[in-house]
Amino acid sequence: MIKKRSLPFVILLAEDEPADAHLLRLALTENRIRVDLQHVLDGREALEYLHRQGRRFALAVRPDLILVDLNMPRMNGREFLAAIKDDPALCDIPVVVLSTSEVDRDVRDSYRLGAAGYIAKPLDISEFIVEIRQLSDYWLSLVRLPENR
Amino acid sequence: MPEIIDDANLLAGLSAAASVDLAPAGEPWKVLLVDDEPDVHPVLRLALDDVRIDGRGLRLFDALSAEEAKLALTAHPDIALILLDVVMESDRAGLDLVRYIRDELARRTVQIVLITGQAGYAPQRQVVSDYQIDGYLLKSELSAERIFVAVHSAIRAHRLMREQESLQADLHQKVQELDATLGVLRESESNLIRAQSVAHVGSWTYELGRDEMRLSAETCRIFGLCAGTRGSYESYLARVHPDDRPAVEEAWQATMAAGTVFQHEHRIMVGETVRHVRQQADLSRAADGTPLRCLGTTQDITERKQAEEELRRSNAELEQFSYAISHDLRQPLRMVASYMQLLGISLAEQLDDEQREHFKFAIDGARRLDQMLVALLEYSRLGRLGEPLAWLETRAIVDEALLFLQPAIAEAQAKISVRGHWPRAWVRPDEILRLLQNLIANAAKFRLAGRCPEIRVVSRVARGQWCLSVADNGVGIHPGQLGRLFQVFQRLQSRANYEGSGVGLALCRKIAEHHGGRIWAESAGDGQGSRFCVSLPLTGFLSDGRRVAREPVRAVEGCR
Repeated sequence: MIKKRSLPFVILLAEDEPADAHLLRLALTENRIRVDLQHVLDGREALEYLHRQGRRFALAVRPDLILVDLNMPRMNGREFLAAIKDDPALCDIPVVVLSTSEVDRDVRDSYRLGAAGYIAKPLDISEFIVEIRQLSDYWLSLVRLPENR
Repeated sequence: MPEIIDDANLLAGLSAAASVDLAPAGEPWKVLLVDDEPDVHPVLRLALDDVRIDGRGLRLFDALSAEEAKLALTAHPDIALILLDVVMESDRAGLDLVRYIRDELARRTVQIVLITGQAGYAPQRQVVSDYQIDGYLLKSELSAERIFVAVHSAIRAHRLMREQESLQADLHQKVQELDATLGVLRESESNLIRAQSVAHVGSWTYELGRDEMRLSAETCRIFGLCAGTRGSYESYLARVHPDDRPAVEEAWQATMAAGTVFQHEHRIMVGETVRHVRQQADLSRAADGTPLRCLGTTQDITERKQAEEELRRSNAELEQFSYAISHDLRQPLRMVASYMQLLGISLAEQLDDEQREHFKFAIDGARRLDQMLVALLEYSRLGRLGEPLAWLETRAIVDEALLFLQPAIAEAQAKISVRGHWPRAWVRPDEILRLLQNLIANAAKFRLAGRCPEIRVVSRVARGQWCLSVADNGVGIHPGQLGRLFQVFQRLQSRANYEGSGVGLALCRKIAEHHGGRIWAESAGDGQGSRFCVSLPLTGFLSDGRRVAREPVRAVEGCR
């Protein structure tokens, strides 16, 4: 059964840099995108969130989209991608990589590991705002995937 | 005595076919008759008249004393037989002559038959053994038949001894030749040992039946063993690094099962140290396919492996450095730029024009720094990404470059001509595309205000080199500045007029050098236009030392 929700979209953001996370919030606000943004600091925390581990994440809501940085302590974006794509319960959640890197290898590796998209964060805030609008236009307008298979 | 002569002929006939003539055919056997009694000589001559032995007659010499006999022996070294009277000027004169012949003249093959009237002077057995006497005749029993038989057998014995002597001489010569060959072999073996130690390549043989491995001195050195050590398959395996043993066994078994060549690189333990060796061996098999023996070499590749390891490490370090540039350095820079922009936007109402310009300078600086980081990253990665060499139609790549540059060319309203002979070349296609793009883009970019840019792209092939030039009628280059052109972040024109990352030409130089070629610039001076030339070998060696194959058919065309 597909559960219809009137709640805003839930986005899980794994990003170790608070300033970067703040930029994303600004970009979302700037684009008037209403989302419930859940912020964790690395891949391991993201997995804890998804598995509702610990008191902090006991009531965590399954996200519609995961945004993940590549370079993070403890568990980086690649390791997180590999882990989530290996988990039948989670592998359907689209993961979009948000990274500063424009290196071909990072882009290729991310798609190879099952990323649904790759955004190289631009230097200009205005360009970043446009990128985030495009992201939401595409991913958040898609029919929501079923919560459980 | 016709029957005796017949008999002699018969004997001669019997042996002629089997034996080898040592003296020229027909030359008589020389026989020396020694007796102080002149009367004896005619008797002997009569008995030996007309005698032929092995198809050869006799030539008789007479001596009436030991002294005469010595003279005759000196004059005729090829005397085959001496019939010798024992008692002449003294009782022992005959025996003394025998000793002289055997000891002083050292003639072993001359046969000596004693003739004596007094048997008591020379007891037969003792004389024969002590003086190497070949026969013994008593004067009292002298008859033509006895003389003939004694002479006949003595000549035969002489002949056999001569044959043996000649065989021995042959043998001696062969032994000497063998010694000489052995000497050469020994020398080449010592050269081999020296060569093995210089090349760090040892050799070994392995007999499967006996499970015995023989190692050359260098192989012993590589394995840290005493020279001359022999081994077995197990003792070899015991020296292989424990982690490499399964792979070695697998490779060995595969060779034994079906192969003829054993080839494997693995580590060995020499005490506590680890060495890398490359094993290579040929396996020979019996007719039924059973493996018999291996002839192999062991190459010490420890140094090469260490160099490879070092290269891998430094490559990994560079990769880490690249990553630091592309991510770790740019990330905080992006924060600076983004939050400056946000501040600029939120403060927009309160800022005066000068303050707004300060914000703009700060953001531009961050943006430029970001561009430089990206350019530096690109520069450092070039050549390490390992784009493979491939045959490239160079004319097609120009069109591709022009397609990419279409917007810039249109903006500059540049006229572009492409001329010359464009060869097929063995290059890294993406790098050559990048090279052409950079040079043409520069030609379009560094134009003079008010002058319609004309860009001439020319290719030609000369002496195995592909020469490419991009010429323009733009701003030109001051002669003193030519040397700085190809360095990273060097710019000859102000940023205000000409935007750019600062690594374009440095990249071009790296690409040219990566292909074993070079790049240079020519210009008559400021405002005189400039020409950039690239020369790449169509065949030959690349900068990494690998040899490039010459493509047979097209290369001929390329030389026209």
